[in-house]
Amino acid sequence: MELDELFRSKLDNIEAVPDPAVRHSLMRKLAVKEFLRFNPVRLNIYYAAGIVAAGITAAVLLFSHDDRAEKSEQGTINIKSEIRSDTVSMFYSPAVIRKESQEKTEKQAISQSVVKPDERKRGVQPPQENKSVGVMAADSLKKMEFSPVVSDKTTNANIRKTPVASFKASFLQGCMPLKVSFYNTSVAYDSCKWIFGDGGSSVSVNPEWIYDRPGAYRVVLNVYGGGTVSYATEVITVHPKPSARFEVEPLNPTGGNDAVKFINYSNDAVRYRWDLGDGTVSFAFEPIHRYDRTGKYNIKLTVWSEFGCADSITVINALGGSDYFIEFPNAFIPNRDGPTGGYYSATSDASAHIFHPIASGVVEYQLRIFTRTGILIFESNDINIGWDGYNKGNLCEPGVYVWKVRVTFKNGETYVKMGDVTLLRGN
Amino acid sequence: MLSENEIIEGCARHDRRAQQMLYDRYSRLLFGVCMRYASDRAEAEDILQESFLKIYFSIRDYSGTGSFTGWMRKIVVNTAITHYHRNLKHKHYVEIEDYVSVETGVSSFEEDFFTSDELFKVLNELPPGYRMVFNLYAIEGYKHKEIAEMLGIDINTSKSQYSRAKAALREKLEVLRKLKEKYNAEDNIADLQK
Repeated sequence: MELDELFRSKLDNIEAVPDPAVRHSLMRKLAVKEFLRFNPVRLNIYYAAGIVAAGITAAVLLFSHDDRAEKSEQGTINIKSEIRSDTVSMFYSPAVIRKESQEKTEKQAISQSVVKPDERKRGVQPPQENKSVGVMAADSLKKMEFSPVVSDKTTNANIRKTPVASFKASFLQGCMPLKVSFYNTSVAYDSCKWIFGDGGSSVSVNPEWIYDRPGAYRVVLNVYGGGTVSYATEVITVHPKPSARFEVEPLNPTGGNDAVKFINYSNDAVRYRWDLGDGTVSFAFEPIHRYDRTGKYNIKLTVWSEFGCADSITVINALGGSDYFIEFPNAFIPNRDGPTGGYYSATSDASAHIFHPIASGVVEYQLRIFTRTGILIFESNDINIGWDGYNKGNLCEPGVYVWKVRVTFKNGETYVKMGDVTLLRGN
Repeated sequence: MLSENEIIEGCARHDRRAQQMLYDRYSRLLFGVCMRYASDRAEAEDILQESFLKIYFSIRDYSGTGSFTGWMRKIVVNTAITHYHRNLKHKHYVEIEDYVSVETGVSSFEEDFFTSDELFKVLNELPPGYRMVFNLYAIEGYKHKEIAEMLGIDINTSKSQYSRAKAALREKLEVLRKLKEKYNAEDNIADLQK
């Protein structure tokens, strides 16, 4: 019998009994998968999520309902208290009410009135009169927000004039240095004092203050009037300013071949913008740029912190500002009157009779000129000697010649460059 | 007891009882298939579970034409192939024997000489790649071209692996046969001595 047939006949419809645990774990996996699958007839995750959502909605509805009920309860109590005390002055201050309704010292009254709302929540039932006062106190406290009234000894003459402190600030946060204008919106006060939180203070009504250090400062406004003091407070956040700093490497790129690397030393910054001076703008952390031509470039780096605070630095002549460079012209017109020897100076070669570079900071120099077929026709190891266009006393043919220069600058940097120059026929 | 069609319909409705019944009825047959492809029992059980989950969730795709067991077997085989690929750690590993032709042993066997268990064992001892190809070609009846596509291998690899698999199986069966004959002979001697 063939091997294939043997295996087929024996194993094709063979049955093997898997471990009972396999069935168990399969059914468990199946249950999980079924739970995750939408199925209208079975409990699954969608139903579960629906039930949870419904529960939350119900809870929210119930809670808001409770809240409303509580509010309306408060309303009725307020009305009651108004009717009962039937004095106008009670609207001004809880302290006043206390004074009229019960003859205790003002300080006690305040402390009691502040405690009252808690007692109410805990279900303690104070006497009816106290309760109305407590609710009133809580209400007026809510209205004043940051300006709890601390009252001193009061006289009947200035009962109606209890100061309530409040103010506005032009900025609650900003970048260092931050100049903030404060506007005193307090009512019923005679004098005020501002404490700016960084050690400074002012008695002006609407002062301006400059924060020159990063941090969070608690501004307090105290207003005085009628022998009482009220205060309001606010926090001013001053974000640190990032600092833009960078270096360029190499400082003096000699030609378009050199990639200039900008090394970023900025602090506290998350965003960067580089103006590389040749119209290129980069948003990289440390851009690398090849300038098409050597020259002087002004580089500007602007950085932003995570709070949007900016700083920038511009370095004028960051590149090419130093004295090390060498540049060659692309054409010259030899003097037809005969070889000149190639000496030139910055002013003597106005008519471009000599092929020579403009250079600075060169300590070692080798210039070689080749014909297009690769024959060396001129060599100079002196930067003051250029090529006059003659080879062995004969004027070379007009056309294109190849030059190669090898220089060492004062900073030890060696630089090799090749190019071509066109020899033009003079008149 | 539900009929096959009732079970299929029940499973399509994701009825838990039908799903359990499907397992109880077909798990042994499909486990037999798994055993052929797996290196060991644990792997076979993994393949079985995965296959059943696939069957439960794609039973609506069963067209109703063709045999239901055949459809399920196909799913098991595909799962086994997926499993094989997942466990394939040396995908670019080529057996040296792939390049050396080995033909040993006899070419025919008596049908009833080996038990199914013994054949299982011999098959499981094969390298996974050989086992896959042999299973798919010799038992499932796929063409080499189809196998190459399924396993993502070259058609010639499929062919050579099949012949290597056969050679290896023959060798193993030969060893087994000699062992068995020896034991049978000893048994006979023992019988005679009684």
